Amino acid sequence: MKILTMVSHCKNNSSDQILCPILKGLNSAQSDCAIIIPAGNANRLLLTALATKKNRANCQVAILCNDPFIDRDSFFLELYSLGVRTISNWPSSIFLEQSFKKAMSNIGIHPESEFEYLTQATSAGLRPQAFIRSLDQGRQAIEKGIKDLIIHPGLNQKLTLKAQNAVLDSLQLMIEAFLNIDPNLSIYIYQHSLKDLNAYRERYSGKVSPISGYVIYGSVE
Amino acid sequence: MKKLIASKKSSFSFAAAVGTGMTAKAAEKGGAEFLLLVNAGRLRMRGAPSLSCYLPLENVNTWIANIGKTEVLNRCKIPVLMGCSVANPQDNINDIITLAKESGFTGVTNFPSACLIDGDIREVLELQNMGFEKECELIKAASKQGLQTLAYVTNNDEALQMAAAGASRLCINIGFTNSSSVEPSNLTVDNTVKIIDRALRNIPDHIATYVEGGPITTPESALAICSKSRVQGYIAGSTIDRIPLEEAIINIAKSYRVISNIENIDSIIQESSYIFGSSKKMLQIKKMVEQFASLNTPILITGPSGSGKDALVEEIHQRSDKHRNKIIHVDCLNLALEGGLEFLFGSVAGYQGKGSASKIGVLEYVNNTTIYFDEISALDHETQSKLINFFDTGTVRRLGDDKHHQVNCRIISSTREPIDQLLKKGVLIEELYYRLSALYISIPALNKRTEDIPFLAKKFIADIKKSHSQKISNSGLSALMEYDWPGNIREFKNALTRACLLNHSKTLKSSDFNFLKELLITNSIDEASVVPLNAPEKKSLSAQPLTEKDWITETLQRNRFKRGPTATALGITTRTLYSKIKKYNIYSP
Repeated sequence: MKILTMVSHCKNNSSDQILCPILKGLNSAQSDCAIIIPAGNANRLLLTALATKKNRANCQVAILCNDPFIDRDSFFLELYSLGVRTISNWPSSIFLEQSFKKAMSNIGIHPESEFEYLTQATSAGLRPQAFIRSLDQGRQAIEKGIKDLIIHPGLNQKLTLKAQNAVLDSLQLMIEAFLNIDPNLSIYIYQHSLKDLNAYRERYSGKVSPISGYVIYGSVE
Repeated sequence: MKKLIASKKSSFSFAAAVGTGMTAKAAEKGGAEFLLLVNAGRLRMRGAPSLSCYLPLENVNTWIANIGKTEVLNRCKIPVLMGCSVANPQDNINDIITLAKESGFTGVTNFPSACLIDGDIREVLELQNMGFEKECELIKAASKQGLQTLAYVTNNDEALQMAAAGASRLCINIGFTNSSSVEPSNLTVDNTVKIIDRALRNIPDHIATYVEGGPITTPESALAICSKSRVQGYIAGSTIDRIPLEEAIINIAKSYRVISNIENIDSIIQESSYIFGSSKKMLQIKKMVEQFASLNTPILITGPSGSGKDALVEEIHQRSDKHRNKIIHVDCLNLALEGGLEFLFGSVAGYQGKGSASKIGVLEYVNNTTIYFDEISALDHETQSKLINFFDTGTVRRLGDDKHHQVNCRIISSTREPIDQLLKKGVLIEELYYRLSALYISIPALNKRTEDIPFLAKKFIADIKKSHSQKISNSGLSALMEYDWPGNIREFKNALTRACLLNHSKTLKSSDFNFLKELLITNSIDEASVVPLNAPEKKSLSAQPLTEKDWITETLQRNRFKRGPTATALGITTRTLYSKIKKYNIYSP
């Protein structure tokens, strides 16, 4: 079982890391909001970070799929030439709600468009890995042909134990539902911290659905 | 508009949220009192929607500071406030304010603001001190340091918080502009006024208040909302840059399309003396004329009033073997009023009573030429029936006479209304129609062949000002192409004559055709004034072409019912005008 770490920077290549430089300085709760923090150019920062990185073979990175100014094809080719082989959608619009979600959706910023973007990367030799937070989003990703899903438990809010357990149970239901659609999917569970990961493992020890691994948010650098 | 301005406190304030040196300078020149330099303005000018201002595309604060220093602050004299984001937890408020001050900004504004974000993610923003609370801190700190401040808010809680923080201006953001294809809004002016007044409850009067977004897309809607609510002004975003710029560029681009068509005008003009245009329909007509002009077959021409039927008849006549003789023009509209039968066929002595002399009808004169029945459907059925015999035999028999006079002529007829309608209404006898229409030509209305307008414009200008070398600009052509031309070619020619005579510059510009816009306004005001308040919703008038009756009525009104100037404006004789007034039963004192 793999454990991947979401990091904003890494000097040397490590196949168990997902690189996303725009998250620099953000804690795990803040990183969930990265789609609405105009703190820099997410994709440009990624390319710069990759260019200065040693041993770039088989990199995993997270990209801003909703960048209106990027040329997809050349971006994917550049990523591939820099050693990237797996990409995921982060910062992501998967948490937007209500009227803001509707407004963003009207300009084409929504999870489905992110999944579509990721799928297009396959033609450049990149493997798409989709962050999702609901059953609907998971289904949309699968429909687009994505085989790797990272199920996010939702925003990092202070929850009661009961609510927290309900969230964990819903993750189980989602895993089962997705595997029913396609048993060959690779499913990862995202956790905001190692503590959360341990709580999850403890609750489902011995009866965990067959998942491929976990993604944990890395330390604030 | 004047009423709105008069009823409102005298100080309507206006500012602009921009993103480039060009738009900033233009807004200042246009009278904006202050500017907000915001990332949304920059992104709009790069082709992205305003809402993308929230995305991690640039570091907002350093980006805007840099644009301010390099493009805006050194060009504008009015106050410029920097759009500052506090969403990045690594950015310290004092550092942001120092950046704004050192860059030369007069003040700051909280943009992009968390106030438009809702749901759990907003809660996380606030819990992590990346949201509206932090924006209040920004405004408070900037205010303490003597900077001007403008705070974006969406409701009363936020407005009170920002007022307490010391904001010198508040702007109620009522959503992203609905006509900018960002977020459809069902807000009406009245709903918007309620939202604004609710948001500004208990806000001290010394704080200047503004509104932005929502259903406001024009100065009129901004003024309407400002006059009904307590806000004093409007901040224009996409309504001052993207929307008008897009429109302007589309229009200019269209003008270039027009220009590319003009290159071959001269050669086309030389091809024909009367038929102008390179539209598909006009080219078909030209081909038909070439094929049939030399034959003796009857021709029926239909087309709306002023579409060029007379010119086409003249063209056919000139190309026929009868061109040496003058064409005989029979105005059937007048005949319908004044004993047309006798006028056409003549009568023997005593036919009109004892002592009446014999009369020779027009048809006896038409030997070896073309006879043109203009508006043939205006003839009564008796006359139409007699014409059937004339068409069949080529002979004329005077009223009351047994003798037949043989004539040799080409018959061309025209009607304004479509044939199917005339037949359906029984106005035109079907048997006559079959005899008239060996060749049937339908001339489209001018607004259905706008691509011909450049050719027509150039030709008519050349005719009007033979001694001058007057030209027409792209913008002038664009103005002509945008107008609906209810009076067709006739009105078009009159409009060009008016523009040429009133302007002595070498090139006719868009502004030289401003009277066309006035015409449109006059039409809409007239229509509005006759619609009762409770009347059911009427179909768009602009979508319906004006009828000849409407056109004449409107021209009469414009010329204060003076028939001379009206006839001149319409390009018809006073006699024809009189006939048409009578025919359509138009009120004319």
